[in-house]
Formats: sequence, C-alpha cells, structure tokens
Amino acid sequence: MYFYIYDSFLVKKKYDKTLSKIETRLASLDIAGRKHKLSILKSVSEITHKILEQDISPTIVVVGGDETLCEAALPLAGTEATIGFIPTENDSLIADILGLPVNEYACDVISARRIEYINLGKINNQYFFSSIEFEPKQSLILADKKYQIIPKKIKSVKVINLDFLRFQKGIDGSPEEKMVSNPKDDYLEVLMGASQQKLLFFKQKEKRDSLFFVKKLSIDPKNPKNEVLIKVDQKNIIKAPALIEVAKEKLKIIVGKDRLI
Amino acid sequence: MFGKDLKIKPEEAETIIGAGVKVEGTFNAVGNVVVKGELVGSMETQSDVYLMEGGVIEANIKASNAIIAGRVKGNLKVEEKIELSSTARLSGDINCQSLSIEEGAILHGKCKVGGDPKLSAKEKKQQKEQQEIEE
Repeated sequence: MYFYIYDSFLVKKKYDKTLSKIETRLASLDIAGRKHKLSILKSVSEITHKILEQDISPTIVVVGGDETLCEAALPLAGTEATIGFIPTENDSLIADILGLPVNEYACDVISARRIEYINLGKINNQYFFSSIEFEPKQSLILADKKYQIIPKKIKSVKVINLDFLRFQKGIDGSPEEKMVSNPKDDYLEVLMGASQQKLLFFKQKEKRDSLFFVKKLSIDPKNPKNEVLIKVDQKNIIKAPALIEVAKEKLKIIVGKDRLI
Repeated sequence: MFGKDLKIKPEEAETIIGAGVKVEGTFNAVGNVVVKGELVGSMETQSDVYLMEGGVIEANIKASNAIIAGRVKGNLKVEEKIELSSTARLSGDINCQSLSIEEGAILHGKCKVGGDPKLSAKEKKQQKEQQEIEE
C-alpha cells in the first residue's frame, strides 16, 4: 500500500496548485494512498513508525524536501518497506542523485518502481542517510582500526554515505571536481579540507583536497574536557566519542532512470 | 543535470592524502593513492601511487606502479614501473620491473630492476664445479 508524507512547508498556499497536480497524477496512475501531513505535533519518525505497525511492506513516499526524506528513511532500514520521493523544490540534491524530476513528473518514477538497495550510515547505533560533519581540531580520528588521520590546518571533516563530493583532485590550482558518493559499495567517503586564506577581502575559502574510503571511523576527543560535536544529516548533533560505520541493513529506495548512483 | 560517470567506483577511485593531512599506521587501499601530504607507517595498494612534490612518505611501499616527485624514506616494491622525477628524494631500496630516473632525482639505496639476471660465465663455471664436488 502507498502512504504519502507531506512536508510541513507544503501547508503554504503557494503549494496548493502543485499538490493538486501531484494528487491528480497519482490517481491517474492508480497509486494514490493514505496522506499524512507533517506539523509541529506530528513528526516524521512518529508517522513512519505508525505506518510500519499497520503494514509490513508499505511504500512510503515523501512529498517535499531532502531533510524530511532523510528523516523518514531511517526507520525503514532493514524492513520490507520501500521509500519514494516526490521533490517539490528545484534545488533538491537528493533528487539529482536519485534521478527524480520535481513535482507531478516524479509520480511516474514512483509508479515505475525501479528499486535500488542502498547503504545507510551508522553513528553510535543511530542511522544516518546522507552525511555527518565535524571540526577535527580537538579530535582523534582512527580509520578502519588501522591508521590514524591527523588533520593539520583542516577546517572540517565530512563523512558521506549519499551526497555530492566536491574536492580538488589534482595539484594546487586545479579545478574542483564534483562527484557522487557510491551508497552501494559498503564504503563511506571521508572528505577533508584545509582552510585557504584568500588575499582579496581576507575571506576564508575551504579547499577540500583529501579523500579517503573507509568502512569504520572512530572519533574521540583529544582531551576528555573538550567537546567534539558531530552534525548528523545537517540536523542532529551528537557528541564524540563516536563510531561511524556502514550499516548492515539496507534501504529499499525508488530511483529514476537518470540516477547518478 | 550531471553525467553518470560522476559515480565513484572504489576500484577506480583515488584516495587522496591532501597537503593538510598526515596519515600514521598501516594504510591499505584498493585504488590509486595520491599523496600530497604525509604518510608514516606502511602502505600497500593494488593500483598506483603518486607522490606529489612536497609530499612525504616514511613507509615501505607496495604498489603496481609508483610515480615519485616527493620525499620517500623506505623501501619500494613495485610490480611494474617506478618513475622518479627531478624533485624526487628517495632513501631506501627499490625493486621493480622497470625504472626511469629524471635528472636531478636523488636515490640512496639498492636497486633491483627487471627479472632475475642471467648468471655470468664465471658464476656458471663456479656453479658447475660445486655440482661436481657434491656428486
């Protein structure tokens, strides 16, 4: 059965027309289902857990933005549920990666049900969908229990499961390359960047030029008195020590034919 | 919006140790490794190693090919070719099938290039004499 979770921002009047077009298209494709609208009182995980109680193998489609999709996907890891996405914003990065058109055009992709099994990341037994980020200044980083990564002049570390990677592959001056992480290879990509001082306006610009592929990464504070804060999926904050790894459980996700993964 | 060739494949991907990073320990990679920073310990990859100018490796290296433009302190065991560019500073023994050294490169260590060399006439004679004594 199909369940649709509507993002909280879709209550705005400007989305009325878009939603009506989406609903008409879903009905004509014969995949209309139960609607759940997010609000301050109804969280995504609450709704997702409720759906899983009702149906063992539901198809849960998030209508809205990337952040809600990330959140809705987490409880579905290792279950028989399938997740789909109808992006309503043109700047959706996940839509680009999954090869999804926006608004009512994404309904045809949902109907086609092209399914991929992808990895989720795990940080201290909590799943993450896209990436985690932290400042490495006060932290000890151990990769795959084999080697230590010691950042010097590094501003931020990003551990990626599913996201775009922007980094400088070649020597100084070479342009940044834009690639997509592979969420099916059982590896996490670790991207690091040094802060670079620009002479003009003394603006700090980050130059990401280190890329590692790891299965496990542990982060510990150098000094127990110092806090190392880790941002998970651009939203939640977790304190180190933390163990980051690829989750064994996979996620069933509907993708378009123009997907990048 | 973006081509499908953007996807990273681990066997083709390049691990990049950037200028602002030091790696310490046993570093094993599947794909190519580009070192612009520092690596201390040991290093092994099934593909190629590129040590850029300014990069430092203090480790024994095992790889398929090695292109060295930085500083290495350790032994290099390479299945195919080692290329030392003019800025390379290598202190250690090398073992490979073929070696190219650019003018200006510094190499302190023993070299074993190519397969097992054929025995010289003198060595053959000595070997024959020893066999006769044993018989």
